[in-house]
Amino acid sequence: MIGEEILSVDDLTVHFSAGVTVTDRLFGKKPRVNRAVDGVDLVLKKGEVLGLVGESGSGKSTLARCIVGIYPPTSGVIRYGGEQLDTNRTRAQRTAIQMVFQDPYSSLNPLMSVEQTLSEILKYHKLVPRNKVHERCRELMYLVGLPERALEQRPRQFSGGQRQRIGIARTLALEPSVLIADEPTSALDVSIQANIINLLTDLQGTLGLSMIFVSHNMGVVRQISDRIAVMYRGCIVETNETQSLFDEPAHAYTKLLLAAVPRLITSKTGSAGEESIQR
Amino acid sequence: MTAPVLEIRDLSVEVVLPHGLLHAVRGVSLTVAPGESVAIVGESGSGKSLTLRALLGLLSRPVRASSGTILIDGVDITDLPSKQLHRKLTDTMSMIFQDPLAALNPLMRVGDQIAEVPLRRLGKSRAQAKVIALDLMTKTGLNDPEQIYGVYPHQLSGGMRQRIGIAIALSAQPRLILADEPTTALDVTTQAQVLNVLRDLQRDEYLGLLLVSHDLAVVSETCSRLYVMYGGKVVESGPVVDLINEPKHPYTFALLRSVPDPDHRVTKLIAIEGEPPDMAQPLTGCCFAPRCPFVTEKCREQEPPLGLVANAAGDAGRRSACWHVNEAQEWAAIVSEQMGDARP
Amino acid sequence: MTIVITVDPLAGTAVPQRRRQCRWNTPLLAGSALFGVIVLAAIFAPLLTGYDPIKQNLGAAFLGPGSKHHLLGTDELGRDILSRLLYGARVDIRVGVLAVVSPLVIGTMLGLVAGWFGGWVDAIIGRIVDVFIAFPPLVLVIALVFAIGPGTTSIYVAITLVGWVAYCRIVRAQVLIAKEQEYCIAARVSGLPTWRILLRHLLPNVVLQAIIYSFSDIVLTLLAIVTLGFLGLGVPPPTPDWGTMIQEGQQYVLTMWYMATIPGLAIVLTGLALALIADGIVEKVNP
Repeated sequence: MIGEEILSVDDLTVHFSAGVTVTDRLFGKKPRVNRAVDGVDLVLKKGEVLGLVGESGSGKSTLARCIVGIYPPTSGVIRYGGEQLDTNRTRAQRTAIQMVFQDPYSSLNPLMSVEQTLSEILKYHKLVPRNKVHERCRELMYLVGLPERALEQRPRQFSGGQRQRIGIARTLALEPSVLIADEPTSALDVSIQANIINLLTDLQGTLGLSMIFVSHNMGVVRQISDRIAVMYRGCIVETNETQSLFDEPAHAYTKLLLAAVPRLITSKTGSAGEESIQR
Repeated sequence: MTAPVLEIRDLSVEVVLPHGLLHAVRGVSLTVAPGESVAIVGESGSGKSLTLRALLGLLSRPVRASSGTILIDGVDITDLPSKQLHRKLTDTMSMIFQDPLAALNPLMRVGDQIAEVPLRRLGKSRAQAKVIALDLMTKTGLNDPEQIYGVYPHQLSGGMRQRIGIAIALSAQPRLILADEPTTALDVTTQAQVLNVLRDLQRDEYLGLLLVSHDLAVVSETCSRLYVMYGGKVVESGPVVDLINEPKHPYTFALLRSVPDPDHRVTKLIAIEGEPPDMAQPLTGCCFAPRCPFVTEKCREQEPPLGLVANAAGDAGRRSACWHVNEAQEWAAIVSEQMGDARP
Repeated sequence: MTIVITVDPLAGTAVPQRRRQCRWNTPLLAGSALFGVIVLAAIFAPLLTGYDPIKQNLGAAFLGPGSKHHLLGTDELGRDILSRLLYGARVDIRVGVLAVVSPLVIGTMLGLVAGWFGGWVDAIIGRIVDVFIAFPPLVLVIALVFAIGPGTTSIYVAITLVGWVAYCRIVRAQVLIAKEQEYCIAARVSGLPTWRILLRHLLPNVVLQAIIYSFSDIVLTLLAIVTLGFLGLGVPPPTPDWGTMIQEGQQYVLTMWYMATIPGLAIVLTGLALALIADGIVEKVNP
């Protein structure tokens, strides 16, 4: 059930400047500015999955990380639950918006067991009383489809798909209401991706999460999203309901993107590559 | 019937580890006819990349090809002395790699890299080699080759680098191009462009193509025949469209259902549980048995041979390694029942 | 036909037994054994030799190795060389190992902070590092000990002031890599306090290189102490110390070669043992 607006982004920009030393600054040389996110407006409704698609350099990952609070915005406003988020968020604001990362091989501390990773968060944020921590860890494992004995193992004993589940469990430990998934399946094998997509869909449904799903894979995005926003060079060029976007793309870039996606040819007469992309 | 450009029989590749042998490729056979585009599809650990590298002798210790026969134009060349073998292989085949930046020499101008083989191996003069290089650059769709000739790899975008990589592969005048996931590292729009280039070249120059990929959609748009690899073996093979319409192996079947289709949304994707097999352990029975939704006792005990199967299209070249291949029509129904899947 | 849907999600993920077998490799084993022998010899010195290393016996001076009562001979004051060697080992090895601890700790902490916070913190620490690096370390140590006055405390102080720099650079480089790893970003996002991220997540993952370096550093520290002893700035006499022994034997090196050579050999062996251990650790981490 999709409710009203829970997260909104208003004219957000994130600029990175690089390439100047102290001596250059003394001479007044201007730094190179990378306009990763250049004026983005976005709305996320409660219980909705918003797909954020774009190619490399579009700024989608930067936007996602800025919303989560990793990068501070250069200008613009992010609002959660109607309240503006400052650079220093309150603890409640911080835990409400959480991220699932892309690389399962670097998103877990290799020296800590699963239970240590989860319980550290539970204890620090006092999310459950001390004597209930172990039980909560078990619950989290159950939620992501891993057995209890996974708790005592270390990341290197798991495969990519399993590590990704553990990463999701860690994110859920904070009981967020908004989940930002930054290409969570891109580093996984094809046959494992479906597992994670199904898992995220199930969790989103049962826990009533609102999700922004960042990806460059149009098929995955279509499967999971209610609405889709298309990003190109730091701006959002089109936003629409999933079905409408695919049926009637409005912006030229969206059309280009959709035409470029490879498709399974199921009939002998369907010849490949007839919609040749302009070189 | 002309002999295939390339035929591999029973190739096995193993990795020597301190605690044992890892059988990465276990008895793979395949053929590529002149001008034909063939794909090998599989995931990480299936052995597909190693199969390709074994062909050109790109394996280095501790990885080695432990058995297998290579035939070029029907002639067995496996036992030739290594220099002649290498010469024969590199005269016939060239390779395109996954990461275009890593595959190019960062300190050499791209034009010179394309001209290198004609200059050094084919005996052309500098001027002739440059002309050939410019011509190849135009063929791969680079506008303004004169200007790009003197540029270094890091100054180009990913798509352009991959085109340079294709041009270098073509400079050796091969009859078959081996491509190891050539578009995986590229954006979707760039990928479409590069695949177009490959298709056009293949058609215009009558080049064979052996493409390794994990992406069935890319393969279906580019190739006419397909080998599906899992656990180091070929589990299914045949014409691409037939395979997609009527998969005769549970792995292919599950793979097709687990990949989201940009044109349809389904209620739930089929997820293949479990993980790819540990290649250091010897296999008993079918390699896919631990994860197969249709497994029976026989599957676990006896390894199914890769046998010819009949299919609706009547093609002679379909093979599948499954004990239950005759029940393939029921798979879709069984799974639809379980999943409430809207797709036929 | 039944469909088997339930598959053990953790099938095949237990660490296979074979990986646990390769704990000890040759350099680690050889180096540890050799160092172990040296350390034990130093500890059990009173049991291994009956002679007091300080007691002079001018009547028995300049005896060569293999003499009836003195296995390795005596020096110019009749002191037994073997016992001076063993008691000297106590001093040198103890000071060598302990002197490395504070540079390791201080350098690691500063490297963590510089790498994590970046900006002006990194710039300031970086400039201080640059100043120290400009000097040849041994010269700086000698100058400091000379300025403070000889004795073990000044050795500790001097080595700490000079040695922290290398650790700071090593750890800072590792931190710059590690802080972009997603588990560090995840720790920040989950709201954990900075001190906790630095100590619990970052430190255990970046400290390995520093520890490997510390083994080579012990060897260098040992050489520094020996050099100080040679220059008369080391452990004050009459406490036996390999450097002082070499210095005393220097004048007699053409005739009583054993007086300087035997402690020299001891230094080489100790250095070799530590280098082997360091190699062994590296091999264990990067097979």
